[in-house]
Amino acid sequence: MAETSSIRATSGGALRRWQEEHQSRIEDTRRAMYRFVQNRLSLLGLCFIVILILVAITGRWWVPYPQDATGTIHASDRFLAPLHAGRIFGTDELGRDVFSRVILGTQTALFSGVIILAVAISIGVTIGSVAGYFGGWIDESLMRLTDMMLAIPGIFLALAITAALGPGIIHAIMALSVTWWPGYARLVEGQVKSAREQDYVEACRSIGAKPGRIIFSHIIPNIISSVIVKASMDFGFAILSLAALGFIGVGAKPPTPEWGSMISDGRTYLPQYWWYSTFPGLAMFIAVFGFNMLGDGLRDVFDPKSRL
Amino acid sequence: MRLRYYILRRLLLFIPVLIGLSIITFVISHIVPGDPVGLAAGPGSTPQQIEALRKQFGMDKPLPLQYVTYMQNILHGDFGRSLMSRHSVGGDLRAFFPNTIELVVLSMLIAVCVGIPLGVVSAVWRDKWPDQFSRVFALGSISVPSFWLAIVLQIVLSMHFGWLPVGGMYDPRAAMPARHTGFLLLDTLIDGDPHAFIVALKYMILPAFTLSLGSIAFIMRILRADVLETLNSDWVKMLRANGLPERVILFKYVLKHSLIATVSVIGFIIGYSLGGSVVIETVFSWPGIGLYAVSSALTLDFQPVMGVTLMVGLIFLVVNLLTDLTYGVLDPRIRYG
Amino acid sequence: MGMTNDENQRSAELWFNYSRARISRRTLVRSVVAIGGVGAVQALLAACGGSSKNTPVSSATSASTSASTSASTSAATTAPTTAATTSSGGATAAASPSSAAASTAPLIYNTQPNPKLPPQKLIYAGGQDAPTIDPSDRTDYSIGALTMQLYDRLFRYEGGWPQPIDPCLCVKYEASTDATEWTFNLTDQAKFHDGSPVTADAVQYSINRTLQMKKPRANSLLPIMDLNSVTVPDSHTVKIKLTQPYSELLRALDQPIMNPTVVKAHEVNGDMGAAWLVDHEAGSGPFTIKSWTVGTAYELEAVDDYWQGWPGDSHLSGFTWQIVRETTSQRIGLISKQYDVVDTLSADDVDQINAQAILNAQVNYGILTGYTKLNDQKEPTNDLNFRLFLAYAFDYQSYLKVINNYGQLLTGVIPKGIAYFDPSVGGFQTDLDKAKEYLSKTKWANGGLTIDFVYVTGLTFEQQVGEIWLAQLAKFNIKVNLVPKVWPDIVTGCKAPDSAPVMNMIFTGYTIPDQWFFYQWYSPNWDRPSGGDYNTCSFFKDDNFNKLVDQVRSTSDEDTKKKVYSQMQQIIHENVPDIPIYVQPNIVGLQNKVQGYKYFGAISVDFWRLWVDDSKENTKPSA
Repeated sequence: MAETSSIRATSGGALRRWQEEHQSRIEDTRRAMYRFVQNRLSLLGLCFIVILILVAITGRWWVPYPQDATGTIHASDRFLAPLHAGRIFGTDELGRDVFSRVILGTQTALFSGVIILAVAISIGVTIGSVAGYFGGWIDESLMRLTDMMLAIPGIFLALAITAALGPGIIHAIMALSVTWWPGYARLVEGQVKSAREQDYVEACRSIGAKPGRIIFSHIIPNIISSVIVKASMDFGFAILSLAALGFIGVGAKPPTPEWGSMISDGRTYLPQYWWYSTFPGLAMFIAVFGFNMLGDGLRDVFDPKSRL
Repeated sequence: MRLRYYILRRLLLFIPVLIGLSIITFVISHIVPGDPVGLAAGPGSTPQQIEALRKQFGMDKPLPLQYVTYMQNILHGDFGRSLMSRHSVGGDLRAFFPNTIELVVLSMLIAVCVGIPLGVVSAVWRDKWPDQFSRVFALGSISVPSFWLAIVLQIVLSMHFGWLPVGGMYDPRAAMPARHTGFLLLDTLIDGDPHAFIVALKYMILPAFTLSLGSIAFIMRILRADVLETLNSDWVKMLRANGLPERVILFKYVLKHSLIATVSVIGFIIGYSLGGSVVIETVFSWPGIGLYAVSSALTLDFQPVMGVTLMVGLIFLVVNLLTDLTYGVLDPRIRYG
Repeated sequence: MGMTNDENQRSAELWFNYSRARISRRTLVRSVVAIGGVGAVQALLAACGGSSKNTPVSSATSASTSASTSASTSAATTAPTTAATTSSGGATAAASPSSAAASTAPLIYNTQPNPKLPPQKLIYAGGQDAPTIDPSDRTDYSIGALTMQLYDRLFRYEGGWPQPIDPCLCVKYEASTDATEWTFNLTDQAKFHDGSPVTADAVQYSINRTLQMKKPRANSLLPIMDLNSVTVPDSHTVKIKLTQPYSELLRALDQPIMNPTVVKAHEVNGDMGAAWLVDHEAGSGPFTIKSWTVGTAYELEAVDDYWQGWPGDSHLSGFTWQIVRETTSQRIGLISKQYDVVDTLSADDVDQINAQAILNAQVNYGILTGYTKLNDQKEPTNDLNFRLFLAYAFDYQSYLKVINNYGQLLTGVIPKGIAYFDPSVGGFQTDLDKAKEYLSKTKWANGGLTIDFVYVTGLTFEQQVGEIWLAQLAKFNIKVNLVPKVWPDIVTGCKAPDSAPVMNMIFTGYTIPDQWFFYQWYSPNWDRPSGGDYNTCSFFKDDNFNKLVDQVRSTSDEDTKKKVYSQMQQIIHENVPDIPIYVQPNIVGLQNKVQGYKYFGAISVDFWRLWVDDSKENTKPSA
């Protein structure tokens, strides 16, 4: 630690100080990234995701027919085949450009997925860590509650909720968040329970740290990796569940371009006007596949057991 | 002795969970803004008719009383009546549930038969092309919406090639086989009618396969991870050191161990399949509870929705319990009590 | 039977004149033969004056197909003699057939099957379930299609579109001039499936059972009848004395007739057999139930010795109604020959179906009409100028393009196929200048408001109407909010003006002309404590209009009716309570080998008229 004292003397040493303090963590991360890059499929997945995020953010500026996503229709341009009259992906039954709507739908898809998971993770992690840390009857009752929510497949509950509140993408997102948190609660509960017995937690407790601080500053950062892995794999499923709700008829409100509703609307025109369903389906495939691959790769990286 | 204690405790815990589930569903169905009674009475009905219908279904009483009455009836096996069709929900459930269960069971069989080999192949040839191919196939198959894939399969296999039927449960031009158990495949076997069995299988294979894709991916992934771990564990290294050929190690020891991992996800798979059945049943016109639940939910017909929720919840709890017990049997390290 | 509106009108006039003794019987017969052939005469006299001992079966069959001019002269001489032997009811038989076409159909059809065309089974893919077939409960297109085959009614209406009134259980009827007292003579040939004859008691029992149970089937009868209305002077005569005059009783009396013995035998706890009749039948119709799996498939088989015979060259040995909700699956199943007939194809499927050598798609326009209902009691649509603005702003031609031209724009307030449609009233066309003119007369000349457009979630064609409204009104700086809702929600919202949306997309249709006006725009149907329903959600109120509706429902004088109907249409057109959008086609896809399909205004088919001819597999039907 003699180097430390000499570094402290130099100006601009703040960054180096931080680097020194977190040296092991930085090395770990470097190693992890190296391993991650080695897995070609996961890298592909990451590329897909990055492209999607870029498209979602910049789409509205370079899309050829942005007004087709906000209500304009061109009835005479109905069902143009792809690459006709300047429509790369063709048009739908109202003459709207499928390409523009798919690109603009990226925003809706990513946005919905993020919200669903953010809400689900917030609720689930909180409940799970409280249950796992305190144990006893708090644990029992919270876990029974979680069991109850897990006991029914999400789509039934989501259906009941959207049937009660009415169709609309916000309601669908709410419904799906409510059905998604139990998975995270269960995951976190188990991990917190075993983490509780570890030495570092013992150490924190002995110096009088409050439970909240222990949980949030110490335990959670150590188990966050499994949550991240689950989240990245769930992202795809979240978007697919939204599409399933759209298929049943309780999804996004028109004319919002949403991949699931577009696929659902277009399915009655298969196989004749195949482009209506296929291109949104392809976009969804890229997104879900990308996130799944990413999650796979992350899990390979974080999970020591498969690090072989 | 302690095992019995454990089972009893779990069974007792069913009750609060189911009650909680029923309360949640009941509350949701009743905070709805729509009035299903007015709808069920039909257009042009007089106010007296609507009120009479409301009384008939006991919906004029205060909510908590309705709930208590409903739960009391459940204990007698009466799940109430559907507002729209006036059929007894219990009767409907008895008619539709076996069909969905049959579909789910067949899809699980397919998932196990396809997923396990894929998982093993992936693990053994790790990071080589069989592994990459299996992973891409498995993950790709669940990255498209199931209803889209179902329709595409219908178009290709039914319309284009004519190999498989479009939908339904059995050939409408042939005589329907006698029903004994409620499970069509079993019934045809009981009657010793191989031709009918083949026909029934033909109608079931496409929806079951489409439903199984998610489970295949999941099993493959779990198995791959588990087999990888086992192949590199100390006791396998020991077997290798003793000179056992790799193939024997794989099939005699590793696989058995990995089946445990598969069992642990059975519960999850059943839940996933039950949820996926909603969409699959709609596309393939398969008369199961998925379809029943959706049409009831969309007409705010709450008694069927509650009935389905409770049944599905019960199945889930039972499956979880059985899974945990089987897990305990297979893995001596895990014992309860 | 395929008589045109014109021919119906002419026959009606002829009968009217004859009953007023303005023309002789001879003139009547000659004129009617000129219109519709031999069968026309027999049927006309049979329905309105002949006895049940009708002329031989053979001439009856040839009547429907051939114009048979050569046969007509000889038959014409026989027909009057048969008719002459019966009393034609005297002066009270002023049966102004109301809006009914004078029937040209015989009572008994061909009972011997053609040996070259053995009966075959038909597989029908229906988009909707039939959760109950209790004839006193309710009806919709699927329930109706099935009960029609299991039971007989007093009349048959499926002979064509517009619907004629053909004899079934009733062979002759009379009505008093004030349309309150009606007498029906029944055939003695009809038998229930258990062998017992269909008597007047069964008719009385069936009608009273429906009135007592007070379910939706009774809704058209309760206002005009009570439990004492139906009397039975003898075993084959039914007398009905209405509590209110109603000229359209023949169409409202579509009650399937049940076998009282059978129903009573299955009574449980005084439920009048309701639990049993949900999935069992007690009828006399051409089919019986073979197996009944609710939500899945319904299997019916033919009654070989059905008393009325079969109108086609052959008939079905049975049929299965399979429930297939996805139109894509229906289409694929039809193409891959798994289904023989499918009923809810979409407009874009038609070309694909017709392109197949073995299939044909039938597109017909009936009663199913889509209105954008405007809330006349709420801003901004309570302003007549705003409503007129909307009527001229909608892009009707674009919508037609969107549905691939498979739709008929309305040229009036009701579809032009409905009786008493007055073409002089006219409809609306897109005219953006006129729209702007009317908008400037309102408070919102520069737009700047948002209105909700409510429609049924999942129904793409309703969504498309909304999307056109959105696009059009955006040009006037008015924002349209598309609000999909589940159906029960919409129905509840329509109870009162406050809870109802400004724009509501509703599809509706009625077979009886006065119902178009009575159910939609007659204010006592919503201006009451219990509120309205989805039919009335334009909340239109006009006392003069209400009086006209009352008048037209109680009179049976043709001239008055024509005048009043025209006046009503004019009022509705001027006040624009709703924007009539289009008539939705009923599209049925069939294998070419399925013969006998006749459109009768509804979504489904009349299985009694169908048969399968394998030799016609590649022959498309001539238009």
